[in-house]
Amino acid sequence: MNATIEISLPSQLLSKVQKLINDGLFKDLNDFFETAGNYYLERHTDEMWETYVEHEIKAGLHAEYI
Amino acid sequence: MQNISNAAIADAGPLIHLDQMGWLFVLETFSTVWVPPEVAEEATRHRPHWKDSAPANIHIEAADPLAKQWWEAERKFVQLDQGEKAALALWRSHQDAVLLCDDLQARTVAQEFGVPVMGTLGLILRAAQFSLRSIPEIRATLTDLPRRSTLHLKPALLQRVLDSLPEE
Repeated sequence: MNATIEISLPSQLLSKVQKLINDGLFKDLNDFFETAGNYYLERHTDEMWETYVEHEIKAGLHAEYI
Repeated sequence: MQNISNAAIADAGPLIHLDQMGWLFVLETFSTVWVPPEVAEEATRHRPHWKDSAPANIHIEAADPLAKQWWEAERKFVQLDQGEKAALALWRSHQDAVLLCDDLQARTVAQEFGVPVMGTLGLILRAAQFSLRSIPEIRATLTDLPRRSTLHLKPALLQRVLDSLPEE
């Protein structure tokens, strides 16, 4: 089931996205934003953020980088 | 204050986020910060005047093309952007350096190859390690991070970072 939303974008960004659609890379704006949303979510899981924060504390305060 | 030791190689994220916070000075805690041209261009697209606030130890240096080829051969590498690829390739020439990067995917790839990594949060905390700013100043900067920068972080995780700070 899909939901409908209204978003506001910088016009320069919208132009770039529109070009990708015109070039045939995406069917339409819905296709682009569904792909972009999934791409971000797959690469920014809660577990990855937890690891990031724990690592930053060790690196920043104790110079443990690995 | 700790001795300035490591060199660093910067990806665009920390340069952008630190400039947004007026905190590029913390990069002075590295002996040298190498910045690939691809990263400098990306940072300039987002923050046209970031170089004006950058400390003098920042040097623009292109990665060896052979190092780029070596990284390109890695399958996971195709998911990274040009700046991240260039920064990782440059690390092949500066293996004592810490990679400064906030991108979770790039950090994962880097760590798989044993590349030491640090991001914007760690850099702000580093100001405590080097006594560059007081604990209340660092706390205030971290608290302002979601409002003043484009580093997206859940409030609960930011609180964990705040809780990690030593007593004032």
